Amino acid sequence: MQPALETQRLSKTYRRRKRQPGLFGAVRSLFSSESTDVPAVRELSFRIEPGERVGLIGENGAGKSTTLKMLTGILVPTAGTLSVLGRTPHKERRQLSRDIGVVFGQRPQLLWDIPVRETFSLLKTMYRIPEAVYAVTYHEAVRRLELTPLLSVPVRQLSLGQRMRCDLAAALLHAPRIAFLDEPTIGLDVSVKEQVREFIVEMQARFGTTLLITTHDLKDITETCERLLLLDRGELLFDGSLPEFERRFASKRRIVVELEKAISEDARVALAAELSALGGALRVTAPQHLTVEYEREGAAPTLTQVVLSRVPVADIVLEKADIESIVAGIYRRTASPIENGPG
Amino acid sequence: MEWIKLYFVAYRTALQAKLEYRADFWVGMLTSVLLQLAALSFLVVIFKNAPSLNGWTGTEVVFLFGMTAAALGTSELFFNHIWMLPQYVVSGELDRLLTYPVHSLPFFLITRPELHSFGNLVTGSLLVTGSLIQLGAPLVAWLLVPLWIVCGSITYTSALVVFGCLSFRLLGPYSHHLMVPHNLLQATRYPLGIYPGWLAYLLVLVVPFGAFHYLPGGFVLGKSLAWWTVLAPPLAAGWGLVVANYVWQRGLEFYESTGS
Repeated sequence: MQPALETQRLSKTYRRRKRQPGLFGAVRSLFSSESTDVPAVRELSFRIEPGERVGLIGENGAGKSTTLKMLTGILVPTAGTLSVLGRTPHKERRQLSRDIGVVFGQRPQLLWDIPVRETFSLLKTMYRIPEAVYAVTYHEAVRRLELTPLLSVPVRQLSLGQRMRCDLAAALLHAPRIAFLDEPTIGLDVSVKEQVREFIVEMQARFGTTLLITTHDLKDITETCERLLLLDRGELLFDGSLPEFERRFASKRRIVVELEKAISEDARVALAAELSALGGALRVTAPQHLTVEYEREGAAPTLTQVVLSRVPVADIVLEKADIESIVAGIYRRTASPIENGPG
Repeated sequence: MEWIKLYFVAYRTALQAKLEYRADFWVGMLTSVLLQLAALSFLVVIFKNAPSLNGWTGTEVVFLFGMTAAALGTSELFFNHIWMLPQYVVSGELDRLLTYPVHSLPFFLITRPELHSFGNLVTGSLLVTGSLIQLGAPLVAWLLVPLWIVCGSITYTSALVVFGCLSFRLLGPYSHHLMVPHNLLQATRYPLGIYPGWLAYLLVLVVPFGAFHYLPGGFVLGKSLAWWTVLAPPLAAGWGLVVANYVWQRGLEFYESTGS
């Protein structure tokens, strides 16, 4: 089967004019054409099958938006090849545009300063959306995103959240085969974020849309995606399913134990020795609280058994780092100057 | 046919958006009429002191004035968005447009009409009509003149596009450089013969603003120019379209959007 999209060693380098500091420098740079190359995306290779739901994450400046803009044909790549639904985006932008839907959350903009309803109807003409499709997408958007009170409001009078909802609806009206959503929940409050995600999931399920979402809110990913691409300074650091991601990066797991009564020092030493042989590190966090930290997957049953058989346990909780803290950990690690680069 | 309808709907929609600002419309309208009248009074002063300019009588020059104003007004009425291109390029606002299933250049041009252009269009049309009556122009002139105005506005807009596309490489949110074609167009309100040779050739062959009124007007009004000059307006417009489209496409390759 033809992939929905595929990139091979895709790279984008921005050329920035060198600027000298100060007024004098600014004047001097008028006459010199020195420039520096700023790599934004480096040799990115990945493949997405039709109907896949993929989240693209990475720190600010990791190259997420640049990648999306190349995939939608807005930017011309510096090197490498890419194909979206069998087309080269920047060369066949217009033909491709009928099959893709795009949202730029950073700058939600419906082109015209007219009521939302008329913007939608113009899009209907523009994409030549069949009546049957429009009936579904329009109705779903209005219902799910609660657009009814907004339909007669001119775009310029909408708040950011309202505009975002309208923009998302506008991008999916033609039931595109691929939806590129660049930070679709940025700046929205929790309940609206929830609405937006539900709408995305609903539309995806109904039309089998291929989803590519970039975001800084990992809940967007966990609730709408099944696969994750992690970009770090323009390079692909991880590509795989969400469980795989957790397995690979969620190194620290924890058993939190609440005791019925405090245990003796001897008992603690003995327990610590026994657990450490199994790969667990015991810590006493309070007189009646213990934690056992371990890294090996599948170690929990044995460790728990040991704890239960040695000390009087009131309660026991197994903890795993959530995806947000895993990602934060990765960002911190890759940002340190010693471990330069991925891995 | 489908696409003509789309552009028509898009234009009507954009026009409707513009009508939301009524004060803007009336102030702009008044300004453009006053500007045309000021230029015209200057012309009156010139012809008080000289019977003709390079063989063109006052009325004939008024014809050139009117044609220039009408072409300018037509361009502003349909294609005024080009003036905002530099700003859009710098702020990365072309992104959304580039994802629509439309020809980006014409669609961009028509989506922000300028209504005060009516001032230029109306003044220009009145001047052209008045001068043609006064000169007792042949019927064929009446038939061709509207076409020439359309061709002129296309030629002018094309030049604006070419200059506007400089913003793709020389980033700066300003549109000063668009004043170059604007001022060159204004220069063709006078017979090209009054200018040094290089400038006259420039205005006929390279930036052919003289092609839609000076050349064919000269023939129809009985000057010495050859019959083929009546073909100059569409040729100039076609040349403009080809160059503008090429430069636009090249420009987009350099479009860098914004960092986010």
